[in-house]
Amino acid sequence: MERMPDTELMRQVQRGSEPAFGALYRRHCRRLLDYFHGMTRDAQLSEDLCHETFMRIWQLRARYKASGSFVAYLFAIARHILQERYRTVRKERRIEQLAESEPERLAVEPATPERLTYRNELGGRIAAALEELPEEQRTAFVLRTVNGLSLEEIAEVMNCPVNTVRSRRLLAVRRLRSLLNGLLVL
Amino acid sequence: MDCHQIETLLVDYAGHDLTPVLRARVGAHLNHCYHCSERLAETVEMLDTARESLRHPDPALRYEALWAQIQQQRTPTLLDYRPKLTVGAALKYVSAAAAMVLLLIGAGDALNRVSIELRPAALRDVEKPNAPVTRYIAYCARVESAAETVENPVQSPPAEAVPASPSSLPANPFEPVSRRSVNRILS
Repeated sequence: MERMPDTELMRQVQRGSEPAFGALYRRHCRRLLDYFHGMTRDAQLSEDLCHETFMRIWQLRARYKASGSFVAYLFAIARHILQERYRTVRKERRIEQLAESEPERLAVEPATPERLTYRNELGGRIAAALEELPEEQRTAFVLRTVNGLSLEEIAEVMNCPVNTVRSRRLLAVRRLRSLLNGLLVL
Repeated sequence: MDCHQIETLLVDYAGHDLTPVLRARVGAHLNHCYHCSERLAETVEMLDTARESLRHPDPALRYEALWAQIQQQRTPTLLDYRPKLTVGAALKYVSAAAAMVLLLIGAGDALNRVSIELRPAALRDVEKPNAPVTRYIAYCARVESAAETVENPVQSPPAEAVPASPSSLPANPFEPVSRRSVNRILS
């Protein structure tokens, strides 16, 4: 079962096979966690979102059509769930701001300067700078750089042409470079 | 290609997303351009650091917990998607239905009033001696009396009986107007 292609595993999942679902989870869970962590910088939240994505896959298994790449299908659902979460967080933030309380960020990772090496500092800055980017540019950047999806798969996930993905990633890198101005020292 | 064009391709070059031909051209430029080589090194450094720092620090698999969560959830049926009828919604539907009934009653009443108001106008025309309707009624009366004469020849004296023929009937000066339409106006 571990060597079966994703689409075949998904067909078995459609018939209600729990082992096939487990195999899909083990195969793609880490990539999904990386994606969510890249987008939110919150390990716990990433795990919750990853579980939510696989639960959605199980619930919507009857609707799956093996027309494209399963990875693109999986990440499209993951992106949809993340957008839902962003909407909820934005709403909560608005309520919190109305109550004049300190708004809690979606993902905050405390960083003590003592334990930061140059690489760590750069990583932290990159992660922080990523939050400044528009969602499309960030998604294109994370899916390509962190998850290693091909440009065609990303285009399928984001439902746009490949060249759009290319330009979004380029814009993201340019923006990151300008936000990290002076920190990139070789 | 100049440095500006190369700069737009560096990200794709670092990610191996260029066609072999384009990759070779960018590589040829990088071999002799120190500035672009430095930009490429910076880009690669940034992408590698991003890859490392953005990955999940401890990607533990918790499949059992996920499956238990799935088992706890009941599969939704079609009944779950039916609209929930609350008291407020029911009141809304009832008031909408009542408003529609009132509207229909009002519209019927208004139509009735209009028809009542129009009817005397037709009747006034009947009273005028030279109105077409009045003349047509007189004509119809003549036709009816002629027809009765034809149907009951016994009642009239045999010597005075006139043989029935269409030509003996008075000429109809109102050809396009039917008796039925006159009756409709009068009623």
